[in-house]
Amino acid sequence: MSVLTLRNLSVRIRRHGLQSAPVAGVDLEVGEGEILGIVGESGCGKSLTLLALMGLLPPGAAASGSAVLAGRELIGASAADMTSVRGAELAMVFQDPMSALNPYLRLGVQVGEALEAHRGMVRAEARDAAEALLRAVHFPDPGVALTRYPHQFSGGMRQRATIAMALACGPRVLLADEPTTALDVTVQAQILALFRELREATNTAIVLVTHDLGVVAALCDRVAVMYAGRIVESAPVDELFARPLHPYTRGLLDSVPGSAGAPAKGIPGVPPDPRDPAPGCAFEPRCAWRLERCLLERPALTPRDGARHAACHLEDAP
Amino acid sequence: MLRFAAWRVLGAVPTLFVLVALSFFLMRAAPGGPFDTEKLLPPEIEASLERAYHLDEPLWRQFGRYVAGLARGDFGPSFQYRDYRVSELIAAGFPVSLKLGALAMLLAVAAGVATGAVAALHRNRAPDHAAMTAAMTGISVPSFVMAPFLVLVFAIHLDWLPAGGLSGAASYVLPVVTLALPQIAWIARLTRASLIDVLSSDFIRTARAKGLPERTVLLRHALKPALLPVMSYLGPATAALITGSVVIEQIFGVPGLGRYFVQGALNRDYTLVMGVVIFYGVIILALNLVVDLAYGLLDPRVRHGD
Amino acid sequence: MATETLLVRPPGGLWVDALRRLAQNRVAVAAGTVLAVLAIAVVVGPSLSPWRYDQTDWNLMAAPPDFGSGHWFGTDALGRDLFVRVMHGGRVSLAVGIVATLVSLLIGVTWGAVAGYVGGRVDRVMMRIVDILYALPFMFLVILLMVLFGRSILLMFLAIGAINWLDMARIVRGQTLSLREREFVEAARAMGMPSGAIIRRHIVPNLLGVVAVTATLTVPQVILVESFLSFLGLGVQEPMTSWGALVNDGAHELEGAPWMLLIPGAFLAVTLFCLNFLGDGLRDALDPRDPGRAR
Repeated sequence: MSVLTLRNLSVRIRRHGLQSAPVAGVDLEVGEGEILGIVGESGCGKSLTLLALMGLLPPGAAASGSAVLAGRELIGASAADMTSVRGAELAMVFQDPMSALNPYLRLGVQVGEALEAHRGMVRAEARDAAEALLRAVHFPDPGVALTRYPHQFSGGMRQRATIAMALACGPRVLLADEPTTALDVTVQAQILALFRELREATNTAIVLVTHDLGVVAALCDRVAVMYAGRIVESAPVDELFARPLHPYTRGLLDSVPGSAGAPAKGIPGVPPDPRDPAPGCAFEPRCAWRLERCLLERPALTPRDGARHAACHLEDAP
Repeated sequence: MLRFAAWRVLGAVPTLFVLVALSFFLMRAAPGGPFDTEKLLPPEIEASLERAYHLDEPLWRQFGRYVAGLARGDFGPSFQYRDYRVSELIAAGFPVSLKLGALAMLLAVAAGVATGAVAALHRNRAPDHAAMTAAMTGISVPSFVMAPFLVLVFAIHLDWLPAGGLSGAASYVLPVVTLALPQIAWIARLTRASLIDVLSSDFIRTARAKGLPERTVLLRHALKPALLPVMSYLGPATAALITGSVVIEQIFGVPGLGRYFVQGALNRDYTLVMGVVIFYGVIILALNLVVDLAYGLLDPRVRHGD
Repeated sequence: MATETLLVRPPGGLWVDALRRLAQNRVAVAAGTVLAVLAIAVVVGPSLSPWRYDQTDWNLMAAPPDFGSGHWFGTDALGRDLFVRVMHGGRVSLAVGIVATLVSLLIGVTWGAVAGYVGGRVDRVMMRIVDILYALPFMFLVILLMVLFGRSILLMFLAIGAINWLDMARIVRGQTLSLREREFVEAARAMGMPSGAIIRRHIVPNLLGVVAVTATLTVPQVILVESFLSFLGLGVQEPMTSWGALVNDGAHELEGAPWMLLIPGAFLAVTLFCLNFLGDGLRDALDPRDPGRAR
């Protein structure tokens, strides 16, 4: 059962008369309790996709298309509707836990206030609930932690706090934008384990955006690969790693040092400028398997064997 | 926190010393003595006067004497008003100035923050442009132009308010408003910039991501960080208000300390001028210190150590 | 030398970009134009009128502005033509503004650049001195100076210039600190260039932007101080005049001759207004953090 469905989600940015579409038609489905990874290079539009879902796009950016969360259309919803959805049904965790937390407010206030806003709890109830939440994310002394300020904790603890904060009202879907990128490697593993644990406990679906394939391999059930504002491939994790169907995915996997014993390769060329989209396949200039068709006709994201999708004119795997 | 406070207090001491020393030695370096303004005195009288005012002693001893006097609150005799000591004149004039200044500060903060907040929340739209143009006017038009202008409009032409003196509530309006105007402008600009900055920060995005109502986001999350720079500004604002009061008291005929100061300046009453400079200097230093400490108290990163 | 041009970041690129952005700021351009017109006016103006600034017209004392009478701005209480006096006053006010700003610029840039470049203990000491001086009530000290040493215009330039160099020093020091760590400076040092030359050739040109903004915003502050002093009767000596002194005269004749206040007051206000807008515009044009800039 799909809890979140994206159809042709696009984000257009207009700045000083220049238009660009950093997200250009994303189709995705997230199942209940599923951990979906969205992977791609910087600038491919993955973060903007999440922000579009939350209705938190920066000024000058507008979303179009459709994103349905448990029967509710998110794109184009009113501000009042979005305020009631955010935090309650749909929550988000950001990359840098230090800047994501308000340095002037105690942890207890910040972790508990979503409950006050959405569940109508009074301060005392929310405080108790916040303590339980902090315990669930393994704070050693939750009662004391409530009274402390963010700067008094390490990066890892802060990120745990933001996760607790996001899950306070039991949302159906948790969006995570590079949640481990700003953390030490050892802490990263702990946070990923925490995500898994929380998913088991609450059956919350998680959409995790990352550029790190290692994170995907460690945590995700399914993964979608994004390039130049579009999904180019999606598949269950093991199948994607075993047999990528899109040349870009192939290139990504080959770029990880030490995979299959071969030295890291990298993909020649650079991603396209979102202000100047090509008519054909966006990856064509860098593709080692390109056909004549690729220059003229953009491949659509089509279902392949199993639960896989790929947007490529190649019939077989590269 | 305590170390922070102690360090700050200690830091103020050199400034105080420089202030006192500068004033003292400037005065001694000035051409002519305090008795040059009037007719030439016969040498014996001049000599005995010098002895009486200790002007015949070595400079360093005079300085020590002066500092000791300051510590007692004694600024020396006024050269202009021979029967009074400077400290008496300060005690007479300061309460008046204080009343005006405090009212002006309250008005400045209230009106400035309100205007700046409105401008920030309606950024790049009509209210913002209007507010910021008004603020720019407030900064650019000097108080000694604005004050007579307002007197011209409200006292002379419209006859709504009295043009001077300090009797009754109505007579406070023009002086307080004119004194406050430049600060309203500065505080409005500062509040606007600060609020815009805070509203674009990540933790505000997080607050919105939690689905908090916008009112909560503004009041609980944005207000305090946005107002901290305004609070820091209160130190320099006080200094500016004190400076401005000199002009305001002159124009509206208010018998405050600023007026004494100007009179003293025009009449070369060195001790009075010096006394006021040091007095106001100490107030500004003290207020900057208080503001600094208050900032430390309000910012948890300072209060709870890093 | 070819290698030198490689090392120095071409200021042409930065400036052209900034000038273009400034030109797009209509308010700043308008402000700059008004200032230019004013500057020309105060230089040329007095020669357009038959009256001298200290000349009394015994027939028309305190007369309102009237094109017919030849007194375009009217006369003051002593029968002197206000137009000529306003123009002359403008010369003084603008001159003080420019000269005193140059004084503060010289002191401030030198102090800040040396502190920022040398760094370490020297920097700490120099900046500590700035901190100590910053807390002094300068206006009062300037008044004290004027009282004690008489009202010479030279003293006024120095005293006013001495007020504002602190801000300039702080800003320049900050900029120098960040410039010092840039690659082209390291390269120059590796090449064996002496410190003095590095400061002169590499650091100072890249300071120009920030200095220009600060200087443009210092001029109105300085003019304000001079006007303030003149208003109190502590500035330029009669019969020389400045806008501040004219406003003072005007404040005494409010009921009878309001134009004596309004006209010089307007000139002063408009000049300060334009300078502030221009400075703001310059700052926005040069600020690399401007969100409008394509990155």
